[in-house]
Amino acid sequence: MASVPLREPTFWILTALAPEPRYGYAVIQEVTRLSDGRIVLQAGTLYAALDRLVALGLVEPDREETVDGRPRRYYRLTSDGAAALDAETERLRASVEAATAQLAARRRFGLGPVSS
Amino acid sequence: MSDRLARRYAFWLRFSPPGPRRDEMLATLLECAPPERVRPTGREILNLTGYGLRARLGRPASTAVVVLAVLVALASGLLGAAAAARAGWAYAPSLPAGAASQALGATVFPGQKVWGGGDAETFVPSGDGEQTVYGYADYWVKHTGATRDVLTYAKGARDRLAAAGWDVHGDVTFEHEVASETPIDTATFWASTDGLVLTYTGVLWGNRAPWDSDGAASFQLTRSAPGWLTAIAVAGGVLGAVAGWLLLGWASRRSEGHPLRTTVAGALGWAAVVWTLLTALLGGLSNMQPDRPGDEFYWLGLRSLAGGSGTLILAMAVTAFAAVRLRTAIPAAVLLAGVAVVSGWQSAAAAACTPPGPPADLPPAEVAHSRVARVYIAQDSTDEQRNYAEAAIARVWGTRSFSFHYDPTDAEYRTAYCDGGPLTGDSGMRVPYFWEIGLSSPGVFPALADEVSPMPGVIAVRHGRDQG
Repeated sequence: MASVPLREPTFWILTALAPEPRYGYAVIQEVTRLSDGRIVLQAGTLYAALDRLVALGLVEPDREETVDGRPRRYYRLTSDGAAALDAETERLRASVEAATAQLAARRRFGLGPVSS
Repeated sequence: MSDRLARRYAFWLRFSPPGPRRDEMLATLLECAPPERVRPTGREILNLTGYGLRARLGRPASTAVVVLAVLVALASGLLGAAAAARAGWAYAPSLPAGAASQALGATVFPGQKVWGGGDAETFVPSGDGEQTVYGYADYWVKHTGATRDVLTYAKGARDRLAAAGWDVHGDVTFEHEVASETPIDTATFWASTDGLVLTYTGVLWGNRAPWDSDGAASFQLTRSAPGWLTAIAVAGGVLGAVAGWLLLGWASRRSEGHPLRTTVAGALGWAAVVWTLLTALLGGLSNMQPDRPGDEFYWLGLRSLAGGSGTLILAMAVTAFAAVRLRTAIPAAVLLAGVAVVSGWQSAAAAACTPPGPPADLPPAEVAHSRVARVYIAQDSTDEQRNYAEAAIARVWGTRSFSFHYDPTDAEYRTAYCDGGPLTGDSGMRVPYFWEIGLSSPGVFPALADEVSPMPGVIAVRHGRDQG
């Protein structure tokens, strides 16, 4: 699992669940906030990803509550999920560092403008 | 938050399997919806149906189940379309009869005695038995001075059909070849009109013996698929695809966590899919004919899925379900076995009989679609008389094959004289010999009777039942 790059919605869902368990709507809100509004998850996309992550053992149901007559099921990151997110973060960090170094070299050699 | 919006979301959530997840998603959707929203957006509908269809398959981490589900839906869609098409073809209009048939003959061959016509079964084996083709009726005229110039006459026929409102496809194709010192001129073209396809062939064989035919100007008339049949087949295909997806989802969810059931059901599922797709593809390709409407490929492909292949594929599917849960598959297996038994049921053994002579004429309705005829000739006829009769049979444009029978122990004697039953004692020794003749289309029979009946020694010419 850790060697396969995570799809972007999956990455953000794991990220949203990293500090605390959340229920569906709260995950969607948190993902939108963390991604500066770039990622707005649809309900179907969220639950398809949650189903897959639960099947892979990266996420597990935490508890259920009923608010205003509506059910809320909370999900939490498992330790495998945290490891997968950590591995993905390292992979992305290495990619970002490599690209940053290459762009710095381009700037140094005067090969053209690079937005700062 | 409006109840109406909740009801609408709940409707689209029915695509996903029943369970608490529907309520959970409904709560999330309602919390996400801005206050002014009264109906789901198009994007939401697409997303919810996509999620629901995927969720029905279970095994959320598996890609293979999605691939199999898509193929199963395709295959079950084809089977649904094949079943719908088979039912629909039963209501396809008959080939032209009566005045319409005469008018068509007069358009192509004005002022000449036109032979053939009539109706045909929906699908028939092709002349060489290798293919299945649409049932057709042959029309032809015996050669005259005008028709022996096959190219000029074909062009005239084409122009007359075009003037009568037919769509003529392409130009007249003309070939002159010499085979075994016999020059052969052939001119062909095809045309179509509402629901009918006409394939014209004018052929002239040179260097023929005086008692042989030197060809004919002819055409074959077949149905093309009516528009409503396409609608029926598409509807059957959609229903089949949905049913296939749901059934596969059921089997996938039920067998989750049972490796043996999954392996057996999965292997059978893959086999059924591959079999279906190959049968349909090969059925379409192997029956393709040049100079015919392009849509026949699809109908003949679907046709190949009806009957034996379709039953076998369904049997594989039922076995796959039995591997998942035996109890559920039992009613389907009983039904399938019942269908197989009924369709393969042999009628009770025909009774023995003592034929006094050639059988009586059968009612026209019984032989309207039959491509079998028999010519009975007296036992004391001379060799020369038999040769004349045989030459007369061969002269008829629509005779495809003929075989002579003189041994009363032949199985053909039973069919010809006793409806399949045995002939009592030595009664077979006293009845006339006969030729069994394969006709290209049922309407050929009157021409055969006209040509052969006057021949010396010939006692009767009869239109038999197809044994097919």
